[in-house]
Amino acid sequence: MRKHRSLSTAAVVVTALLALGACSSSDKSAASKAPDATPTGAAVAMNGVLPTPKTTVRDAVTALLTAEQQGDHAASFLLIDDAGRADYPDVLRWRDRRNELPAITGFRIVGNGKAANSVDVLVDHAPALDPFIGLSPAQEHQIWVGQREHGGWLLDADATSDPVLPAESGVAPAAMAWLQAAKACDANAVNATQGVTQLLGVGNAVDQLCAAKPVLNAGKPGPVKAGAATQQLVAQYNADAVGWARSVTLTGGTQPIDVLLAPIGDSWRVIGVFS
Amino acid sequence: MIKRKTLAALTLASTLGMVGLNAAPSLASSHRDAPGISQDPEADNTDLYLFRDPVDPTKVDIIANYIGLESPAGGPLFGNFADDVEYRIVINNSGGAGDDIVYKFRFKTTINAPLPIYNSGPITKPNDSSQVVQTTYSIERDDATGKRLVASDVPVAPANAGPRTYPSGSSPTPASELAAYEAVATQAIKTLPGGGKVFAGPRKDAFFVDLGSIFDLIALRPIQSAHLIPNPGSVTNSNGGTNGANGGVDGVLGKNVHSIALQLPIDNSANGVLAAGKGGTSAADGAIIGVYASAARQRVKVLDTAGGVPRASGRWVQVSRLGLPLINEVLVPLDQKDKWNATEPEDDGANGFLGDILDPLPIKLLPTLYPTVFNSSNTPPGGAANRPDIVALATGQLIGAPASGAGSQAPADLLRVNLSVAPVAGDPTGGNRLGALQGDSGGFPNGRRLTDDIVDIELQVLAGALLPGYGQNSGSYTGGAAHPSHVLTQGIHNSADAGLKAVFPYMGPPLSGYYQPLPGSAPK
Repeated sequence: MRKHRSLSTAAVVVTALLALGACSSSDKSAASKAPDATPTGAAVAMNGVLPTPKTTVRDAVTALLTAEQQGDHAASFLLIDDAGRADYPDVLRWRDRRNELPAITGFRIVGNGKAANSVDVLVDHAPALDPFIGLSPAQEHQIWVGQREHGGWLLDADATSDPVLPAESGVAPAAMAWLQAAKACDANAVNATQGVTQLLGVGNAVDQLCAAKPVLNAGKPGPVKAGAATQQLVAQYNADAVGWARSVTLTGGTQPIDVLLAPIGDSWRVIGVFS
Repeated sequence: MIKRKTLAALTLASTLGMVGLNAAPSLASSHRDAPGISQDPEADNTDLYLFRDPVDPTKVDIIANYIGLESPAGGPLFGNFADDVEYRIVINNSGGAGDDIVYKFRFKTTINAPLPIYNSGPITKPNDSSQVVQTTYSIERDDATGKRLVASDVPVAPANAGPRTYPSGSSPTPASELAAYEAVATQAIKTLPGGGKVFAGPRKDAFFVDLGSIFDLIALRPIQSAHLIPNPGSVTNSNGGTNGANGGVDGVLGKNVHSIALQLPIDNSANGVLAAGKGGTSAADGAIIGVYASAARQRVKVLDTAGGVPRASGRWVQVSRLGLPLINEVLVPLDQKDKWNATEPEDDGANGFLGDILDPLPIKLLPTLYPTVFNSSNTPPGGAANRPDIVALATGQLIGAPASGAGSQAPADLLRVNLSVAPVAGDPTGGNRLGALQGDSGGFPNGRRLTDDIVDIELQVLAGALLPGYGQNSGSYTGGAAHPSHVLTQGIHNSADAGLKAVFPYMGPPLSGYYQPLPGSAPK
């Protein structure tokens, strides 16, 4: 008897729960679908601001990048298209997105992109490495795409970017310059050739080289090797780092040393050592 | 080319409580609260605490916990913050619900020796040379003035492996081992340029909740006899007690968590939490701030078939968030929980989540679960018109915000604190565990202290403890003591093993792997 009662009461509970849950879900569906069904025009107005389209894509790019250069995200927000404002519905979220990218210090339109409604811009940044942004290249090409909306041109919220890196031929000499500075125990010269104060990998590599003064030769630069170097590089600077970082192997000592370099401004700097 | 462009109850949860029975176990305040995040513990926000500092009232403390129900013996790697997660603490200081100030945390773990275990000898400082697994982190602050790298290469406190790793003499005890560990861990407290402090590392989970009873059809042990399926005979619980007024069994006992503790100045300085031009002397003077914590992952993750490091890329996407405790696990329907985690508090209204909060489903279940206690006449109906108490909670009016005008707060799931109210230290023995229900202005919902009994408070409030005509008669909570909301309790008044500290970071040291307690028992 006891078991029977338990089962029947449990069934009552489950039935009640399912019924209540069904009511809640249907209510929620209606509520949550409403924003998706909002027509474009209403979506534009829902944040209380209206976009400010420009007469050409170039004008829109100039206005947006000028505002960004001045740190005026509220002004640049008015130049992104409807799809962009669906992704970033208000200035605060647009600001959050822009803060994920290197700050703009200058720009120059260099031509059209491959598509008729796109513009190629050479954008300047303060060169740096940052654990949140990754590489802030001195310059990068950005392709901005325009959309004809609201009587003029607005822009896709996110441009594609392609950093301008220093010549590959500078990688090995930069590694050797750092090596010589380390062997000479010259702290100032080491700092001038490093891109970070704390090296990835063997953190005390400079001290070891200063003590041992090995005779080493640089091999041909290449991509960062799989394993610890890639793991630490990606952990510190995101996966983009695999694209811009280079590795040079120094041989001639008791074991080869892999030196990691980053393009800081117009030169290559050492950021890690792996053995 | 770097493509930055967007690629493109069974919530039979107890009345206020704590759980979604139709979910995979949702544990504690927000452990594994939704299908998606339940598979991603390193990004899972478990609890958020917010209180004016009782030692230095010019500061406010924010503690965001992640990685719930960590086993203290979880070697060789133990629990740890993930390299590919961006952890965030977000502050609104303008009365809205937007992200006015964002603190971002990125972690980096390195393996510094080809060894199979966590350390090669005793650890005397964070990231000691004997520590094979070493973790550091960086902090960025974004606000109206721009973004700023606040600190970098800050060490994370190490795991608490045991008495050989943290020696404490020839006859170590669990207590002496904890002290030795803490002497190392506190070295990970960093004073921030611009004011304030930060700490990140493992801690003993301070939350306390009777998971076992809640997941057994919400049969709260103290009132099991009134449950639809009453106490099945005499029961001796795993802690040796029996069902009764204090018969709850803490399901988080013996479990660790990972904490990010941030102490910030209550002013307009570089790391300050007040809005520009505000003094924080009253609600109208910007004294109320709202906080939520979150975690984000990059949109794309590519695995390497050769076993190399996975590569994440693209825009950051929020995968977990937590403001007020227990909202997602108890009030949001299962099919909406992942969406809730992915969205921001300022969209709670548009997404329909405020409707869930104002019409709490668990309350509708009370007459079914406890038919001799609750019925349609003593259980409040939902909706904004019927639940002014919940409206007051969601808009900060319970902590002094006006309904409109200067100092008013937008309705949203934010944990809010009124910084013009003097701090009141939480009582680790449970003396002021009910916060505002006990007339204690220093406790929940005015922020949340580590000792606040969130489960009992929310159970009672959602059941109508503060609602005129229900739990609040004659203008007071105690005046309505006859209302059955007052009997809702999990039967636990404090955490028996939290080991709370009297100073920053306030969370107690993590239990060691070597001395881990048996399930259901307090550490010896």
